[in-house]
Amino acid sequence: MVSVKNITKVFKLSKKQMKKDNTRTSTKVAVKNLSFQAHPGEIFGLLGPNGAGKTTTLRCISTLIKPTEGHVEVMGFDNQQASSEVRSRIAFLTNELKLDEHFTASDTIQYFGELHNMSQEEIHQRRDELFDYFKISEFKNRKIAEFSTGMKQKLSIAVSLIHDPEVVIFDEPTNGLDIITARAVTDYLKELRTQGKVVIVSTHIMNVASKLCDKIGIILDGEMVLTGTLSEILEETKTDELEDAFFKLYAGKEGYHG
Amino acid sequence: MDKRLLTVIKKELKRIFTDRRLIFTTMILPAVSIFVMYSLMGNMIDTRTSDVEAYVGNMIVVNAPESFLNYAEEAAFTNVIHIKTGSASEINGYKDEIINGDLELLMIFDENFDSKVENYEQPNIQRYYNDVEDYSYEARYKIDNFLTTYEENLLGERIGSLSAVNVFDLNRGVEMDALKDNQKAAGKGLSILFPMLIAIFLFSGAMSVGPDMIAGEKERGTMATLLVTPVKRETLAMGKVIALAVVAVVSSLSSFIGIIASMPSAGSMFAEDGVNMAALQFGVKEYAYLALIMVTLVSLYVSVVCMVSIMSKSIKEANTYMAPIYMLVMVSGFTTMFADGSVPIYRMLIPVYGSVIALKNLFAFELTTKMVLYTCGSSIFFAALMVYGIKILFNNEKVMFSK
Repeated sequence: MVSVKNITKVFKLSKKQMKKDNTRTSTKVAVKNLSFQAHPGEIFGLLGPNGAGKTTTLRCISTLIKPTEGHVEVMGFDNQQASSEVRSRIAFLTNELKLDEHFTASDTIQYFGELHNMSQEEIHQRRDELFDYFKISEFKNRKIAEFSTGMKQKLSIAVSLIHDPEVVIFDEPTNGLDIITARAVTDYLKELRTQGKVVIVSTHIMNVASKLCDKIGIILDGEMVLTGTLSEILEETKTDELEDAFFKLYAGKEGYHG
Repeated sequence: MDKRLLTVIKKELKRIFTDRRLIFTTMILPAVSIFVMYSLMGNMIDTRTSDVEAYVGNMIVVNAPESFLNYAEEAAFTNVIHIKTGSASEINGYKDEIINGDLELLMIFDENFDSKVENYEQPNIQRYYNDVEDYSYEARYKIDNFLTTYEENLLGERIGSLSAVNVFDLNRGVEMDALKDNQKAAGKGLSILFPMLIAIFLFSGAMSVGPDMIAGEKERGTMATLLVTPVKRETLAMGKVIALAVVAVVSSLSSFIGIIASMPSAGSMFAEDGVNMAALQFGVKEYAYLALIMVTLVSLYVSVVCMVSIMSKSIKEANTYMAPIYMLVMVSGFTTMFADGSVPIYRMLIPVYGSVIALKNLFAFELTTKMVLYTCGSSIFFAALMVYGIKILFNNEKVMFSK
């Protein structure tokens, strides 16, 4: 289980950033007192517009950054006190990931497998499983430069999952993908749910959130404004569709401009 | 030692050593370009010098006295410079010819030069040449030497005996008057250019691949994937620093091979006349010092390159920051180029500059163990300081994830 308890993340702004954001305050609260829980065999979706704090939240969970306040526990380990234990149990993938195109698919997965302290046998077995699933086995010895965008994204997922983690965190997993690759990715996320993994995704696409996620947390201006299943959210907001629910919450958030 | 440190080093080295483009630009091109560049320069300088020395220039002599023309004929000076007599009314035209490079020399004797000499009236000779034209400049040396002997000849005639003019001989029977340690002399030539070249090539080796190793990972987004592996951030940082150091050393070795290979033809650029470059023989101690200075300098460079790379968001940004640092390294090299190697010992503590001075002293066979300790100690200290900074930066989320 992933348990996020009252995390707040405050960034210090440089003068350049202050000018860019047109603000006089030297700090920016990216995430404010945010809490939620994600359980094994469940896909939890963080839904919010750009700049709402989704990526910051995922980075806090992944140990990449430390929350200013609050705690995160991953499979029973505090991600401040036992960050190494946490990192060995999670996969973090961002759609911005561009693997080094000079290497072959096998080289790349081998490297990340070794960094996860896996034996050669474990790496090869896991590599074959993932490559078979994503249908990239026949290209395993080709350089990534020769891969299509879809194949690169599939390989990125395979690389991040080489160590068979218990928790999978995807930041905007379908962003910028063509419809076929996006479908392959969402199918795999469902497969991971079936395997009993904790899956946390961030998205700003209503369709992805409503069709894929078992639970949805709506983030606006760094705050979790509502959490629940799709039906719970619709019931709470008295709407028929997630998009309507989202905009109702958005309109109700005074002074919020996304 | 964490075996994953080796994994990181292996991966970074594989990245470089399996990329034909990078191998060519960082390991082959420096050697080839240095060899071609210095060999060509050396050969061209040799050819030019020989050509200038062999060239028979043209000289116009106005109011040419009999004694001068006769003595030039007698001393076979007409084989060295063609002498033509000219008219006083054309002097300005002759000067223009010299300026245009069509004529090498103009000599204007006083009218009735010979009779003035006879009457002790101390006549004048005006000699004009063009100091930006090599042929004219060389002709000036030849005519000045000739005029000295011509004057002695006139003096001999005045006294009645040429031998009476010679009071003493200089170095009669002496075959080699310049006493020197050939090894030091050869090294002194090298110490002008080599230390600067080594300092610059070592940095360019590290600079050529450093930005991709860290800033490239940040730009590609693979840094986040690396940082969520259980590997300690210090291990990742050190793996990259060590791999970059290996590449920088290999790249500098390539440059060094290029320098050594170009030595026979480039010798004329480096060495003074009569110095045999083959006399330069390094012993084990010199090679050990050379390796120590180079390795510590590389560690300093690598830590600087890594530091800049880590603070940059993209390869492009890293290369932009790298340019002024490269300029600083070049300036450090240039300032030592014609400096005397005997600087106050505390200056050996100045990073880069101290190392270049130490290399200068090494080639001049004047390097002491104290100097090595000072400069290498300083490089290691600053490199360690920066590696510590790199480790801190690897844990700085603002630096690692800023956009």
